[in-house]
Amino acid sequence: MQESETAPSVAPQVVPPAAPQVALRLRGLTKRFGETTAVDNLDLDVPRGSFYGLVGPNGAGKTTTLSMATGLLRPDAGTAQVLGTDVWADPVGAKSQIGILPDGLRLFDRLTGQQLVTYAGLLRGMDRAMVAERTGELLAALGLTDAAEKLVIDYSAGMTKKITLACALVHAPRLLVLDEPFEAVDPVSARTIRRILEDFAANGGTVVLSSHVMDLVERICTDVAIIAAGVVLSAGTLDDVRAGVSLEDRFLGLVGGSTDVEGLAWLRTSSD
Amino acid sequence: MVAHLLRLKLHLLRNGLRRSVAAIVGMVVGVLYGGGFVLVGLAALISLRAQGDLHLARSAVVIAGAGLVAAWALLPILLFGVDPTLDPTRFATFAVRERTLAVGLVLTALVGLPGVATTLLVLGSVVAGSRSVPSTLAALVGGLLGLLTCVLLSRIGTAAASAVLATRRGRDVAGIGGLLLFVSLGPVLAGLTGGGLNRATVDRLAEVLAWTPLGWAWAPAGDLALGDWGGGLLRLALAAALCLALLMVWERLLVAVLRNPRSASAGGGTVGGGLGLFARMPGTPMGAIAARAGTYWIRDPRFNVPAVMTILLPAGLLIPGVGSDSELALLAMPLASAYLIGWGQHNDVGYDSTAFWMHVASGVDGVSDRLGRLFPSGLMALVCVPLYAVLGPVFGAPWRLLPATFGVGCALALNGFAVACVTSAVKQYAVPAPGENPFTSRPGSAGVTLGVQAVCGAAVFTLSIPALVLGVLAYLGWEWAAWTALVVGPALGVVALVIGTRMGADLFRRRQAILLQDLVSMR
Repeated sequence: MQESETAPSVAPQVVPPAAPQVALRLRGLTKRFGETTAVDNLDLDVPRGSFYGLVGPNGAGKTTTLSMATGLLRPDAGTAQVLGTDVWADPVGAKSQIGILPDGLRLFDRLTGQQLVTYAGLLRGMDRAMVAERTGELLAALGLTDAAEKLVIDYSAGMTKKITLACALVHAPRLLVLDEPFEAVDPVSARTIRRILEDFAANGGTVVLSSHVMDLVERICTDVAIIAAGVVLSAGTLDDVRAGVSLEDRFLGLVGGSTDVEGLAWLRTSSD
Repeated sequence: MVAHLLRLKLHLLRNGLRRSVAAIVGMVVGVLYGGGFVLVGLAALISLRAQGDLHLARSAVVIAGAGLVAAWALLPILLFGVDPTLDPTRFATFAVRERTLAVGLVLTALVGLPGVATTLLVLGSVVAGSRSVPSTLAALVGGLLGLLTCVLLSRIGTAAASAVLATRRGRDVAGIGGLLLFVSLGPVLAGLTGGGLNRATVDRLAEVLAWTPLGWAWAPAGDLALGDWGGGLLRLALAAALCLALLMVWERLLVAVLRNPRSASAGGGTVGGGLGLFARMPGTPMGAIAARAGTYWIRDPRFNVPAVMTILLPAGLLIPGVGSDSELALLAMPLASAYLIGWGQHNDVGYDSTAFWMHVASGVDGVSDRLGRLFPSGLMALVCVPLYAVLGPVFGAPWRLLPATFGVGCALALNGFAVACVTSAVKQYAVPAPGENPFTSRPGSAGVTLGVQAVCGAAVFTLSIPALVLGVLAYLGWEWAAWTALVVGPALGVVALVIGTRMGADLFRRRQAILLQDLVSMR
């Protein structure tokens, strides 16, 4: 498998003996936008080596939480620690250990795929030879070699997610934070992304991803947190959280809201 | 449906204002700024009615009206950009009748500050033309036709510009088109500065303009007041025909856009060239940022169109410089070039749009970010400032002033870069997003834009005062001042750049997440 051959080069190397057992520790994170509170005094611990799924309805504060955890958005209150390093006290130290795939932010898409990954690597202060080597391997692993010299703006949605993932992996982070990594991605690309992430986690890396596809989270994650209205409703291992029922049922039970469809009789025109 | 569109436009304006205080401040500034002009214009128009000279009234209204039409046709394309909220392509998926949409979009263009200001001025022109019942009627009809012509021209111009710029080749052509337009402005400038203004030339100019499409709508009131019924009615008919023709052109364009939306992104061929600039620049964060900036200046029309303009614009000073032997114009060339290049960088982070997250996520240091961004414009300054400095004496300015112009030019460019280092880490204003028409503007953002631009301009000017003073002394004849300017200008510029980079780097370190949040909210 091509992916597994290349995985070691992007997976974390040797784990220091005194490495903390929590990869991402959030305490009292709060963010308000005007009068709405997007994230409300949120606590979360992501164990090292876990494949952590963050699920929640639209507008639950997933993206805001992940942005504050990775240094992209300054919290109004609270702290975020990545492997023991405070993201807002020592941003450079913390950021060197994180790889990010944000959702809804642009890329420098007038660069070619190869240039973009190279850019991400050089921005991190890596030397050129290592960047070139890893860029080649990442593009091959993600099946983007043929598109390496195309502008990213001409990429499909799936290719764009994959190239962003390559940018997130090029500096061999210990923690990967992925916002909706499977949204608008075709099944083939999704499988490729999943394999790379599973390899990454199997070699000691930690993956945090947000999604609202329950089936997917249930299949690939070891740990889950259910978030709604900026608060963690339930968190822990997958089995603890779903407590005997399916994750979707558990989620709907916690988040609430009726799923019965009323009215819309006029839509049923096929019965005419 | 038309009422619907008007309401949509009003909602957009109101919500734009609700979004931020800056937009409200901008609106207020716009109202004060534009309101001043309108008040002066109205006062002038009313005093034209009060005085007795019918010829003067007619000439003034015709010239001003023609100017108004020209401004509506050109300014949206050149300066203020297209309002993308009512971009016709956005209506492509709705089942709206094309004729209705065409009329509706034209009327919505009147909602907003420029539309209101123009409407007021047209009302003023009716007052100026109200000498008799027929002339009042002609002024009213002519004014309405003129107003419609203005709006139609702006719609057609921006739609055509968008269409041209949607294709890659079109973008290249646009650069050349801009140059041609610019060159064609030359004779007009020369005429205005060279000929001088006296009553005879004003009347002659008005007479010529009255027979061009620019003036058809504005002359009839004056014609009827003077008793020229034939000319007046003929021009009124011509103005109506022009309106009708423009409406047809606009409808045609709209239909083309609606039936063929977004045909632009013509495939995705490989670019080739491997890593391009990334292979040629040093393999450091700063080198990478420089390579990225350079690549964007080549590939992105939001950079290369203005860059071509910036390079060519100072050459326009050759027209008064050679045409009417203006020494000052020749001496100003390198200064204008340096100022435009240096000052032009103050909003660079804004052009990154939300892709700026890559810099934030990487923890890149501020100095690399600040200086890397300046690479393409620095290169441009390195070529243009010496070139224009030498071009001045070649075309007749005194050689003894070369050290002064070059020194002051260096100071202006370096101080511009210094200011840009700081401001682009503090406040960015909305610019067209990547891939958007480079001539679009964000509704409600004009105030912030003007504010930031004015502050940056003032800062560059203030920092350059020592060099400018020496330059003036040299011009007035003090020989030593020229050579002192050559030393002092660049030296102080370098000091400013070092301090600016430090300050900017520090601000970048502390404020990068806030900047990103700003950029996200501007989307």
